[in-house]
Amino acid sequence: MMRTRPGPIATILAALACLFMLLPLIAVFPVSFTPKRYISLPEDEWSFRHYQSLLAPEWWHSILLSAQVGAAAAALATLLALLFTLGLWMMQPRRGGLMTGFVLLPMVAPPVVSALTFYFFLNEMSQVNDVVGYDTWAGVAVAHAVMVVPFAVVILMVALAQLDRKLDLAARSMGASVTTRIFRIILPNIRFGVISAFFLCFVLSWDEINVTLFVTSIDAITLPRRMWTGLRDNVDPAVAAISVVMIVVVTLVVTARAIWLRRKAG
Amino acid sequence: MQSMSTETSRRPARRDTRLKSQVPVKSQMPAAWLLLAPLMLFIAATYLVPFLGIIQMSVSEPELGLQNYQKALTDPLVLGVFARTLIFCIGVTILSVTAAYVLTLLWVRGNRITSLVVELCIMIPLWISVLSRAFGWIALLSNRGMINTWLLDLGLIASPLTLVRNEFGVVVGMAHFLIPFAVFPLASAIRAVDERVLMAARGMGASRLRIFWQIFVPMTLHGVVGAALLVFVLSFGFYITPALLGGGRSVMLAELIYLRIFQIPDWGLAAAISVLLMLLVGGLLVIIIRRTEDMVK
Amino acid sequence: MDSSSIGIETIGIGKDFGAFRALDDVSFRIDRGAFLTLLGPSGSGKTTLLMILAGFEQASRGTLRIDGEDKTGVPAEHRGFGVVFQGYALFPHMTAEENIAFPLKVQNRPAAEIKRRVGDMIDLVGLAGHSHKKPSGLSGGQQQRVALARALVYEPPVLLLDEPFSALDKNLRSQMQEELRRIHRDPHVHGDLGTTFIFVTHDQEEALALSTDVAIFNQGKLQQIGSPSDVYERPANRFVAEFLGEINIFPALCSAKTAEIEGHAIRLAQAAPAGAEHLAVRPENMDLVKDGKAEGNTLPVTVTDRIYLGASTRLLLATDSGTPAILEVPTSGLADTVAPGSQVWLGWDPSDSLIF
Repeated sequence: MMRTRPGPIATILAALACLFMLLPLIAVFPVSFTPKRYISLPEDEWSFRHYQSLLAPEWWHSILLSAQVGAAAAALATLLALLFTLGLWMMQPRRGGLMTGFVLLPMVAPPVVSALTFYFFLNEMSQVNDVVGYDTWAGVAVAHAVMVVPFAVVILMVALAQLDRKLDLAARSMGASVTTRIFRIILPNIRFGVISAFFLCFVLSWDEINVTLFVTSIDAITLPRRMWTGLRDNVDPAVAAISVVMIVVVTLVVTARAIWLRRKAG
Repeated sequence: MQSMSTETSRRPARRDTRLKSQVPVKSQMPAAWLLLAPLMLFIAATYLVPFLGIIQMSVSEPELGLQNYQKALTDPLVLGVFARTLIFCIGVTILSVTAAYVLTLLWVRGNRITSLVVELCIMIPLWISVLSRAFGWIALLSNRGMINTWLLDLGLIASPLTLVRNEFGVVVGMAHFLIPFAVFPLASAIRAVDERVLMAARGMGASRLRIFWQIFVPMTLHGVVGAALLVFVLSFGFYITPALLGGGRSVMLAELIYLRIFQIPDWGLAAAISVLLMLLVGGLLVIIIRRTEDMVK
Repeated sequence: MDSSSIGIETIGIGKDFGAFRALDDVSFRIDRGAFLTLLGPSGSGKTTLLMILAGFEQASRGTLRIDGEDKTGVPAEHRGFGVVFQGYALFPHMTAEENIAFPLKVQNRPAAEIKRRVGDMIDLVGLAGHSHKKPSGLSGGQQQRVALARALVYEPPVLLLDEPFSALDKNLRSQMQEELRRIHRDPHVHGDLGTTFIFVTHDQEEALALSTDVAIFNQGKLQQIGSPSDVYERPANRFVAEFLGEINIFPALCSAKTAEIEGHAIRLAQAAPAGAEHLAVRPENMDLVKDGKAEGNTLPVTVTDRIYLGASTRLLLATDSGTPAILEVPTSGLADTVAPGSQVWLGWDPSDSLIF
């Protein structure tokens, strides 16, 4: 069937929109090679000094801290979301919709409200312990876990929705216990969903700035928090260097995935 | 003519109850709670209880009463910020949904290569930190940025244009962030358009423009409204992008909360504005959910 | 019925989903080793009953006894029944062999026993050579066999089958039906006591062909339970009569020994039950007769259409007041004069009349 393709006007407008989407990403590249300490385009001389500065302790520590926070938040969020969605799927409790709505709350609330909530919560926690509190890595990880857990819940609910419920009924009819059903029947079939949930949670935590800005000051400086400082006061071209690294990684991953999915779909 | 014997087998089927609304056999309930409770308790302890604390703070800081709400709803400064936020969010919503519409059109209905390119233009920015993207706009629009450098070099302008650290920068940065989010509801609406309807219109001799405005747009209007509501809700709670690209000159509601905590502390007012913001967004979400439910039915 | 041979007994089983009464007051008994088919249109409650028998659903009312023991509140995992699901529900990450071994592993049976039993089952269902394939590599019929083997390998007292053949094409379906009959009678499965098979279908031919007992459901109520010939030849009510096969039903004025259809006297072989308003006859028990003077009962009808089906011809008929009827006769003996508009006589033996 001959599809009705978009016409020239739509194509031109879309090309402009594409340009709009890509321009700021492209603009980061030349700035990252400037030899100067402030935002400028490299004229005669290209320099790698801002890339080198990423390996200096202040940036490098932030990168490691973000990885640590991301791994902890993703692990906690994925585990809790997995238990919750398994409970929903296997037991189909009454008021399941209401419970789901409740755990999705952090995703739909305005980020600044969540941020204020965690600022308040972690300050209170600092009064009673030194581990999970304001400006500690564990405090940030807990806040991130809450912020990203709705995404894990959604991904796992989608993964479970694609699993035939009768597999679980079959296992039950054979006398399988709840743990056998989870470990021998369900998990092997949703493992890609679990991996995706962990990965998405990690990436969301890695990029998280809304809440982080409110709950950190001098000790728990994650990478986005460091970038915020580098943008807020005097714009630091080191932000351009780290941005270039992340843009390259994201572009490679997203492009590879898009092409792979298209190949698979044929 | 239908013989009597087949009549009964064609009765309309009653509600099919197969495997639906399974009542768990009682012995399973402890296991169910062991699975469901941890996440709910976690969110209750880390999110719900502290938020109740915010509500409490909004009516008790610095003294008991509703004066924070009174201030939030009457103070000219706060009202001015609210009005600006409203105007910005409406503007950003229109801009984002329009751009997302043409992008989605090409993504869903373009040929293979176009579709891939457009998809990448939507997906790559989506995965990149809001900070890197704000930096990109600064690199592009600042006084020593790409655009001003080029325009100066070409001699088109004598002194740099102020393109960022103002309202223009905020609108551009927010739209850039929100376009990918507008694409998803639009994509499902545009995908649902039946090719045969368009072929029928072409067969009747309708021009491309007429097909677009009188057939395609009305058929995808529910997607446009859905996308607009979603973008509007998201834009209301924004503060990172406005704070970086607005340069403190055009404060928005969410940014005001940040400032009332970290710069001119007024916890009570910040809490009251937060509660109002939550109510507003909650109300809009209820509308979105109702609409989605209606469409599913 | 000797109480020791009762396999399954339900007493007043009911199930509500909110305000919707899915199942109402279902009571029956069947023998151990029977093959019971639950038959009915969709939404009639047959699958709900199967889910209650399996222990996946809790009955809202009533009692369920298996081999004399009350099992009403026992969940599925402690009933030890075999279940074959619509769509098979094979574990996609396990091979055929692993699927069949799974229930035995759950029960912590010794490895040697598992190996022997799985081997026996693979032979029984004819899957030799396919045991190392995953479900995605098996055909529909082979998947069906794995599902059967997996449900039977632990020698359950009861095997429940929920429309297992609905996804198969017609040829494979009848082949699997034959196989299911064979497995039901197989002494390996049947053992000394016998496995009770309970089968849900909406295919009436399948039900009549396979079962020792047929239970017919409509709108959540058990309409009739009995042997296939019972329910077909002596339907308890109009629903059962119409649901199974084809039947001609005429409004009738019934008295003690006679009835009247549109003014024509009809003889009855036995007394009509009180309040009976209909007289029904299976088309295969009717014939075309020359005139109203033939032996047995006769009724004048008008031919409304004549449909050629090859060996036989189907006649669509109507009485004077317009009640429709059908008749299938061999094409070879049918005169050309039997055409739309012509009048013919239907004849039948008084003992073939059903009255309700």
